[in-house]
Amino acid sequence: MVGVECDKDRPMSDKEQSSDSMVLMVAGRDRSGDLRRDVCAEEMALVDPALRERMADGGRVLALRESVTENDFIDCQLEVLGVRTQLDLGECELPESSSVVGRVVGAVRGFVWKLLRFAFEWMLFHQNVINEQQAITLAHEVRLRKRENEDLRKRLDALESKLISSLTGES
Amino acid sequence: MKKRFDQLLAGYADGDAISQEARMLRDILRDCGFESDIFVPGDSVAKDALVDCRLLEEYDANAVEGLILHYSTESPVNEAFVASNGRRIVKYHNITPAQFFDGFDDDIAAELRRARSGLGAVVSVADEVWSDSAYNASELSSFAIKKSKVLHLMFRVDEFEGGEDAGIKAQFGDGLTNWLFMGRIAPNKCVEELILAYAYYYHTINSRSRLIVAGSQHSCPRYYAMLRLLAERLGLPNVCFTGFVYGGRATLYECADVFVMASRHEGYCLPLVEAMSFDTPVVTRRAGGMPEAMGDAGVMFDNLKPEELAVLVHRVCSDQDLRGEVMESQRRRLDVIHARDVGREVREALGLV
Repeated sequence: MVGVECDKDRPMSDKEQSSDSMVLMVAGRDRSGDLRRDVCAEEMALVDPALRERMADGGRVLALRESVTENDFIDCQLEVLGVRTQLDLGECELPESSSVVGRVVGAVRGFVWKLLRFAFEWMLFHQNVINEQQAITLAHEVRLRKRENEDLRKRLDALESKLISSLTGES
Repeated sequence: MKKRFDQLLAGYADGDAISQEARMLRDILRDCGFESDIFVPGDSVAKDALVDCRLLEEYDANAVEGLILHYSTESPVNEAFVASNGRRIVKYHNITPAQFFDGFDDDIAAELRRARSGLGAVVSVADEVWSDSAYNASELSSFAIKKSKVLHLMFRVDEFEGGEDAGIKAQFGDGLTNWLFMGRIAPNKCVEELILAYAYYYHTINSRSRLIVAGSQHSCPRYYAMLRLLAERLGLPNVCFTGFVYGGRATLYECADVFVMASRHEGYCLPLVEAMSFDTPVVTRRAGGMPEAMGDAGVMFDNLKPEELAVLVHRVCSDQDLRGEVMESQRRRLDVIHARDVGREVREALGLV
């Protein structure tokens, strides 16, 4: 839970100043001043290195928005897919609870998790091989089609110029 | 014999705001004593929707006294409008800027560019142009228009009502804090910004929550693919893509703790009004025609970083004073909307009062 005490009279930090263009209207009233200060202060409490790392990973996906054509998009998507094809069981977090029932349920979950882990590892091994193979095959297929298109374009250009020169030669 | 006053639509579908408005306009025109039908190209309408509209091939350009063209994209109906006789009115619903679709779908981007370049030809033959919002009208300022009027998007509030959907209730009514987005999954809606904000909310503020993204994923499959990938990379199993929901919309709104909209381009945005009518607090970007839909209600933002949006939504969900203020403003806004006499507005616009 996020929540920091905000001193509403303190001067704004550089970070808050930088979001001067922020607009906040609540029920038709401009709250860009007072509510903004609170929102900025709470937002600064959201510093979590692991989350920053995740967000950076998300940023790589968002590079897809910069694609100008569908071809750019496919290139970028292949790159993003190629970065990670492997599933990782370590990322799976078991939910925790501080209540007595929650702790008991958590312990049971942990036990079942350990018990079944070998089966998950087995499935994971196969799934990761399939993911990797698909990503590689797709990238290869795209490369082949591009090469084929380029060859066809060259042949077409050559035929066009040949046709034009033969037509101008006739006239 | 009754005079005809028809409408031309690029496409027709249940749950589509423009189709809903056309139905309402048709009923008003019939009440005014006209024969009136909605004509749609055959490839842009589902067969079961043909009870509400007719095929463009059946349209007779010489038989109409008046004609309304709903303009939002490139379509054969635009040419039919130019070739028609009688009083010609364009209802301008705005055209999504093509650059949103660049890279995601080059065909749609090209179609939108053609729609924008063809707008002048259509508007120049029109006797009048009606716009959904002042924002839409401002886009037409560069054209020489004979008569222009803002006639806000028309809708029936009773069409928002619906019975409870047990499946949706079981899926989402489990006590988790639900953020809801409703609308086509298209790049101008900027759903990725909601996912980024939700990532901060989920990982740092409240993991007992979910983001429900309700809308058709067929509009732009590559954009949808990007969103799925983003949710996966950010470790967000609770981002739920439901697909298009029509009958169960009421239950979705009822399950939602907050309705969030980060779209950067909307002509009006009917889901905002829908959300208000289900007493769901609305947090929306102040962009396009959305301030006109909201009036002095709800929360509007702009230039927020994702983490700031996360905190703002958290405030709306948890700060009872702020939530109460927002809800009260939305109820006042709904009173204004309910008091609107659309029939009279249309009759006045047509000069029949």
